[in-house]
Amino acid sequence: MELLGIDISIILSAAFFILLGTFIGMLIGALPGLGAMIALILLLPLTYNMSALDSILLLVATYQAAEYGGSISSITLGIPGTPAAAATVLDGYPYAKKYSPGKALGYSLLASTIGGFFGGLVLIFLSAPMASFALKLSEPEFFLVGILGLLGVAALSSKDKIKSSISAVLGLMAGTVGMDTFTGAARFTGGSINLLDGLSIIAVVTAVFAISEILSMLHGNLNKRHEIERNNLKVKISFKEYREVAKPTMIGSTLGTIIGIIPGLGPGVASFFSYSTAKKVSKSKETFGQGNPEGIVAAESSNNASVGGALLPLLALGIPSSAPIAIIMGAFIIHGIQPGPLVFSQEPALVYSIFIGFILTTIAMYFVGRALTPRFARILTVPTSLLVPIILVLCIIGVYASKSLHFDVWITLVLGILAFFLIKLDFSVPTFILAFILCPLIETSLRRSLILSDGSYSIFVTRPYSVAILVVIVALIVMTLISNMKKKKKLNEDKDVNF
Amino acid sequence: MNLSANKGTYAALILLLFIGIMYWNATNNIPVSTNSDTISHNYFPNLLAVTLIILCLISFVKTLIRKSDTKIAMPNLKIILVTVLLTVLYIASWNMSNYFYLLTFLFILALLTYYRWSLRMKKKIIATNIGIAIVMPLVIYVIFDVAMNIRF
Repeated sequence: MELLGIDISIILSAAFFILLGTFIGMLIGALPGLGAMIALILLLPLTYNMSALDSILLLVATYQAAEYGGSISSITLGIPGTPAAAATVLDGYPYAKKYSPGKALGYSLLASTIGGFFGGLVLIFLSAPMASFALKLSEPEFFLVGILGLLGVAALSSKDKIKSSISAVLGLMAGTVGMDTFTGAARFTGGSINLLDGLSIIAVVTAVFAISEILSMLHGNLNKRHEIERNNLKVKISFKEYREVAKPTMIGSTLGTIIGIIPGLGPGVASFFSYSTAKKVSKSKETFGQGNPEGIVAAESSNNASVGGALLPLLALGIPSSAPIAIIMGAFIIHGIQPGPLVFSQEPALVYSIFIGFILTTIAMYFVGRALTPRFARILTVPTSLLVPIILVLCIIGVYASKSLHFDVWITLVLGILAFFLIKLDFSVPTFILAFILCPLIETSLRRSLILSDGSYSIFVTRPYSVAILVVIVALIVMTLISNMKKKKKLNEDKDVNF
Repeated sequence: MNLSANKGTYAALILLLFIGIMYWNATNNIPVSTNSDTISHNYFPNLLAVTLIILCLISFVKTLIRKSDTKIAMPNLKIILVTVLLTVLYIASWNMSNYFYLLTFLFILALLTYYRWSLRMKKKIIATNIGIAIVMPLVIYVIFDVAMNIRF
């Protein structure tokens, strides 16, 4: 049966997975300590047998809903469910205490929906022109764009820039394991056929994000049950009330989308930046931090807008700008699709279906959020001691299910334990993962560039686009150095004052 | 338990330096292609190995000249170690046998019992532990085996 020339079973199937992703994303996002990454990692194995469209929509819906879900615990408990919801606590929790948690959740849900919708529109209108532009780029530019992405993440994701850079190199090294696509030589496989295809993306991502996070969860009180206000949880907000916060919502949506596009920043930075900008331009800035709804909507619209923004460089350039987007990129790769400028001409139906699906995910988030937020809020009382065994088993079998290899499960466990300790020492996991994912692009484009130029590095400085990207790279390095020097100077001044 | 951040960094950097040297060594042991039109497959790995070694040395010196040290809190280290040990046993026994669902039941039950031991083993807690340990393998069976045709 067809509707407007499209098979209805495809529409129903996509709608089902959008709703499923929304439900699971919101649920896991709401649980403190978990969040979008764990939700995506747990759902990735389910996508192996699904169509490319269903799997990508499932993951996108999960990511969107997890960003809103994070605000549920921020508002009801004062504990952010996701790092991106940390800014929401500042005004969400006081508002819930002073007035009504349901109303605070209403502000959050509507702002998340508007932010998500805005990010989706930007994605729809900018990705095709950006992809057309990307088609003008060649190997040297792709190499430099890859390096720019890595530098962006390395510069912003850890306090220690050298350790961030080490994480990037380690990620690239992990990405070189397996058969060389140019010469067919087996590299760093130790003679194991399990490594000829390289390290499994799913095994590596699960290790460094999920296993390390599970071990970190064990640090706290395992059997603590959070107390929540069970009354007034119904999500409600009137149009008049919301109209009063339209300005900070637009600020959050715009800044969130822009920040989402920039590699390494992501929803956490977006929500804090939007929160502080909304505070600066607000007429009632003195009430920020005491339950001002403008603070809630600025942070929440921003973290959801960043999702659409983050998908833009993935679809247009094939470059993931954050770790959750790297997982979504993994779903593309699992289905044999390489995201990037060519995907618009090779898979137009898929791309435009993703666009429509993206908008539908925000609508689904609104309705599921309205209906189920009070129930999700009650689930927050589940102690860590019950969650850890369930998540651990799901992670392990998820990795096994990808290739039916115990070898991958061992890799996950060993890398996860290593990541757990390295995170404590300020090494950067997002940088490691992005480097690992970007390694094929960086190495291939570097080697092709050098082949084109007969081994001369001048190819990177003689092409206009390359020079432009190089300027951005240099500017980023200089800005990072200046910011570091300023921080050191401020730290020394503070020390002197204390002394 | 608290660990010294500086000592931890030294240990990590020494391990990473060792990995860098091993990687560099492995890179140069791969037979090089005779095709002169292509950039050799050890070109990029060599670049990475050298960069890693240099960055590790810089970080080492940076830590050496840093006057202050911070403590890294590691509460519940025993619980973490027991979790890792049980996970190793679970994966190893699954690797060696075909009793995935039984082992999963036992693994979840063992973890739940260990984590919730301090609550005293009342009937309700024991029933919850056993209930979760039974339901989880069933859910896995339905989703992965029945729906997705993935055998464990």
